[in-house]
Amino acid sequence: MISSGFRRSYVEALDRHTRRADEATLRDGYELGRRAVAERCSALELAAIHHDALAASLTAASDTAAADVVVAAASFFQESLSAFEMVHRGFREAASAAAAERRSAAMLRRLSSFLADASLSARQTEADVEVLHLVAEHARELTGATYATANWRAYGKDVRARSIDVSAPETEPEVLERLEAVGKLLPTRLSRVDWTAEPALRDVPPSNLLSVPLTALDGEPVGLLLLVEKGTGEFTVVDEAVAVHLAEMTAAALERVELYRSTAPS
Amino acid sequence: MTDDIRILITSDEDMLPARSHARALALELGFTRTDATLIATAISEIARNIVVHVGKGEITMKPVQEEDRNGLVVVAQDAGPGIADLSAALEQGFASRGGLGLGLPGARRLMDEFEIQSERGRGTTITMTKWRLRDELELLRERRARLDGRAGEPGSDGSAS
Repeated sequence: MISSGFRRSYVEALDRHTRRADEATLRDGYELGRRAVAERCSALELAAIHHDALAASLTAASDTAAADVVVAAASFFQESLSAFEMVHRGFREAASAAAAERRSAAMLRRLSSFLADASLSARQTEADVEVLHLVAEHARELTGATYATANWRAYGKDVRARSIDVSAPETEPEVLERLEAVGKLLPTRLSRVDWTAEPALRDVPPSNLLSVPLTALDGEPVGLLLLVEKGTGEFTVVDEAVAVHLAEMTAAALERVELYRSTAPS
Repeated sequence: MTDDIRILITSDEDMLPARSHARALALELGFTRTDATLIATAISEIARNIVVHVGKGEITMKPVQEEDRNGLVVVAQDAGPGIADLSAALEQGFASRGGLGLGLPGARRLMDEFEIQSERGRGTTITMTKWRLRDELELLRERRARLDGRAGEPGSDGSAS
């Protein structure tokens, strides 16, 4: 419920504005709008207060000045609504971020079920390639990266998969391999600024990267998930957490595939 | 076209010339009254930020003209302590006003482009831009005016001596 003090301030400020409109009186409108937001006043309440205040100003004005009062009041009202516009845009942004998070969670759940599926081991000889491809694709989408590679070097194998955003230009495989060499044992996040300071990348156009090792049950690094060029901004700690989670699930799934192969009757 | 406008910000009162210059420049560039209000509001938010957190700074605004759009660029600079956590400062809910998304996040949402650079102990620079797409009619009028102007130039009728 809006305070009576606010109502009075609004009526007085609008009256001042309709008598002599300038930037100072408009600023008063903006400040009142800000105060309304802070006092949890709704836009509907503010509209009602404005119309009461306008009626008061019109009563005091002569017939000839009425049109000027209405025009001036419209500008004042717009100023007082600008704080609501800021808040409204914030809500819209938060709603779309929440929708994106829900999509990510659903995607992660689907991938988790796939990697945990017992039939994966028995299904086909190319299961490891399929796993790496899916993980690269999902990791790229979940983190907003442009390029992703996933590789697995264990049990005498060297398997790799790549995923590239459809709108992005192809990149040389050697470039991605060089990038893979930057991060090996620990999760590594390189911002654009870090990239330019990295001696091994001096001749590669600046971008950003996130790399996470795939680790076997005994702790040995057996592969790498690499994400390059985040479309908006830099890779975040949340991106890193998602990539680490994916890498852990992937390593476990691939080890299970190998375990199955080594024990399955030929 | 208008030159750069520079306004020193040391108190809430300095918000007034910043707002009125921004509004006038926005209208001169063809922005709607609503957009001019949003620009004035965004400027008020960053001016308030300077006054509350640093005490002193400067706001510069200038027009930019491209082939198919007009823009108003606002640069706010201060030599304060800098912002330790930029992403937190730009998130809704951070800082003042109980997480309503006013302040810097609010200003960011009202403009089309918003960039912030801050260095500990050396200050903060915010650059924000609002764009207005120019419609076909406007572009056509401008092309005609250019052609008319050229027709009036000496030698434009091919009779160079």
